[in-house]
Amino acid sequence: MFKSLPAYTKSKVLAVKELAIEKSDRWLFQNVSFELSPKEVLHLEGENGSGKTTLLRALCGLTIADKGDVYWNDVSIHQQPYDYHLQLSYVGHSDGIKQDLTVLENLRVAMVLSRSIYKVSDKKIMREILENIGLKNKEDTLAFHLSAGQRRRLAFARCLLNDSALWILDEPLTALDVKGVSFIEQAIQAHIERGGLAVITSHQPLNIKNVRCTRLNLSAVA
Amino acid sequence: MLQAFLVILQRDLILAIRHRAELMNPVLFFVLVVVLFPLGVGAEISILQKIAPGIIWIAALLSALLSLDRIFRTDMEDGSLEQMLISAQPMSLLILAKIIAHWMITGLPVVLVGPLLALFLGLSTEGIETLFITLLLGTPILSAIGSVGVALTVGLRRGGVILSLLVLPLYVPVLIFASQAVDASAAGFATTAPVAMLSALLLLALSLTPWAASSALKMSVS
Repeated sequence: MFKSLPAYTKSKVLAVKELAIEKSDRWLFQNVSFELSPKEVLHLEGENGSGKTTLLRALCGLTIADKGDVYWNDVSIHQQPYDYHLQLSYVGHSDGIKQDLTVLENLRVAMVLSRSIYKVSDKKIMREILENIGLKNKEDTLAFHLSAGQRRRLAFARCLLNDSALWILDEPLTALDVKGVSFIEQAIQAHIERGGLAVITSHQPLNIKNVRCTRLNLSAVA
Repeated sequence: MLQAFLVILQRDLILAIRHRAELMNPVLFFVLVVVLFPLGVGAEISILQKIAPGIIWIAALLSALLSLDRIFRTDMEDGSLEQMLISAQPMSLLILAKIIAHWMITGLPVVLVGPLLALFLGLSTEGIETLFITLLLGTPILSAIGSVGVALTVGLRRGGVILSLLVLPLYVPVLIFASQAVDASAAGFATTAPVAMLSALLLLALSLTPWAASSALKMSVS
């Protein structure tokens, strides 16, 4: 279902240089440096509390690092927020889903925020997206009535709404059933094949074939 | 861009309508405070007439304060705010939409009910007309200034007290000019000066506060 999409045109190198973040008077991590080119996955590992989520938020530009910086195409992400955000999809711990909005209303907000390539009014596309994420015939259900796994899928749909080349996923596999896990793995695989980049934290092993997957253990850097 | 503004406005209005109890809260509070005054002060119409503008404006101020927190609090909790901050749309525009939505939910009912209550308090027709105009000009200022206060305190676990301390002094000019205008018109004087001041404050608040709130939110979220 992901095969037909064209390659990303604006996929660039994501570089992190000597990043260090302090939290309540101690270094959460220091000297984190890596470079991620198109068609690569970075799998972040580390114990609970080692700063994985903080690092991901720093990659998004949500948390300001105390030392070092994040670069997209050799320019600091803080100097090009709109260009960078256009290339970025982030699914965090808090999923950004409004419980009191229906599935379709949630998608609509996400589409406008990400300047989606699709039109909200295009019923056929919307149905296709919903079918892809396994929420067929649920468009008018309040997100409140979805299960945790279904909500996770809905949050993940944000990645499929626009042509963002960089996916930052915080524990994308939690609360998902076997089918959901394989759906997300397939989506990531198709994303990488299109020339995308992904930074993922996960306690479960990721089963993605033929992809260069670098591992970075944050507990080791601390 | 206009579409983003409208979608966020619509989203906040839908969310408010689906929480009907919360929707009624500020206007109910407003009515109760005003209704309690004659019981406390006594039903002497000459006294009530004299303090009516002050009562109504103070009640409007407090009811705005009561409902401020929800501009950003729930969005902060479920991660929607993060998604807005890393969206490809200008944050200040989204905040302007949220300010206007907040005003439509909490300010507009006060604007409509206020003149009615003024009638009970025995304010003259000219006074009621001016009161309506000052409420119409003044209540959006309350939402706009409030958005900056909430943006600054939304990252704190218990920001309620600080929010009042932060925002109430900034509300004072609105209170002074508005009640001055109503007093002047009830006494038969021209109201041009205070009403012009209120209009200026409104324009200033609507054009500057979204930027201030956007910067404050970036700090609160990080």
